[in-house]
Amino acid sequence: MVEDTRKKLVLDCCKKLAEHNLTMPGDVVSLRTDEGMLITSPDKDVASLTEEDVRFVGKNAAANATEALHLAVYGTREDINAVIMNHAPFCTGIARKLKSFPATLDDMAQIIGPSAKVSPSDKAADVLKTLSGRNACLIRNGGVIATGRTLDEAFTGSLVLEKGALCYVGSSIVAKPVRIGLFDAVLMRLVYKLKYSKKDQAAKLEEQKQGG
Amino acid sequence: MTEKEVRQAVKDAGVKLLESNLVQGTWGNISIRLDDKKMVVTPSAMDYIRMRPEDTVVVDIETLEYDSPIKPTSEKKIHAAIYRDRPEIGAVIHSHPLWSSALAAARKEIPVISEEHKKLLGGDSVRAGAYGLPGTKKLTNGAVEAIKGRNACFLSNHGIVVCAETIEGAFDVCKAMEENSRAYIESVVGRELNKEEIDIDDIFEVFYKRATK
Repeated sequence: MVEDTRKKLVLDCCKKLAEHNLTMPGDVVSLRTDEGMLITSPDKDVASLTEEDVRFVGKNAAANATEALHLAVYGTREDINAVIMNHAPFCTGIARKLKSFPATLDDMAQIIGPSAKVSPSDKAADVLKTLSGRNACLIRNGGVIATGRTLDEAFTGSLVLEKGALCYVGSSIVAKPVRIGLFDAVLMRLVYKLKYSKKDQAAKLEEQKQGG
Repeated sequence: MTEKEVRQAVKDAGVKLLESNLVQGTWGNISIRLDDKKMVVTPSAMDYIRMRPEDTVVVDIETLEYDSPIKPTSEKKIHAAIYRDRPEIGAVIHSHPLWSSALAAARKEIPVISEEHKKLLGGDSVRAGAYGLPGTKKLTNGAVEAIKGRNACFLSNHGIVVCAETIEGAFDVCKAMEENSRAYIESVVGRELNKEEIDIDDIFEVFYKRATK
């Protein structure tokens, strides 16, 4: 019963990703469970997934590299309970040519960090290293990996990262973008994690554990 | 409107803001003037879907005092300053729309392109308020200065603030800001590539030139 409602939470997240035009075929969403994770099938558009396309994968039962990557994130980052791998247009464009891009907006500094880095490959070791100390990163010639304490936070991370990418691109076109100073960025991220979002995320995490 | 109706209108506007992707997560904030002395504002750090009308907070426009266990938005000072300065204003929205936020990151005064948008935005350009951390005096003063005589301004590296006589009017101003911001960025790309219709590949063509300079 709890698993069914958790599957519904995953599908709701997929639906929101599609509604915001943040996906391409092959994108995957997962949610940590006590014994492993629930993960969506990469074989269908996220908008058309059903409960049958969300399957349980045990901690040592990855069937492919994508599942192994998701399990590696859960295995090494206790703070992460949800992972989204998606292809958002501005993030994808940046991941083709840049190694990183800075936060030019407060909300990206708060939820992602002072910059978003591009992992040189989608291998678990590269992605984990690039994700270190951050909630999200880009993947060279690939898409985005966004994580969170809850599915809601991972979704917001994906949305904010795409907005951050669009803002960096747009502001570079009209002027020299002004990046958030490192001190301000670190301070805002600390306040966001330890104070601003704590109550909201704690309530959502409890709902997620109960299955909705 | 009664206090109950205003609280409901603030809640409804919050949901609309989130669903229109004018804000992400718990960011952004909304207020509606209750009367000459008070405004109803959104609470701090609460998701607009989860927020109930009774979670909104009545705040004194002059003193910023409130009688509620729920903390109001930390940007209440910007809202109150606009209501104090402009008696005709009935609603204020601070939001983070995509294209407008890109221009907020450029910290530039931006021209308003169409006549329709000039009417809605209240001028032929949109100014950018000085950068300040959320909730600080610097951010408030920058916003109040930049929005003087206009219906909208950029908050540097942060988002936008818009105001209007009604909450519906404030949404129209938000929409006009986003349309004008996108049109301005696309006009720069169009001039550089000598094209009228712009797509994302054109935007990246110009961006890659800037990024690899």
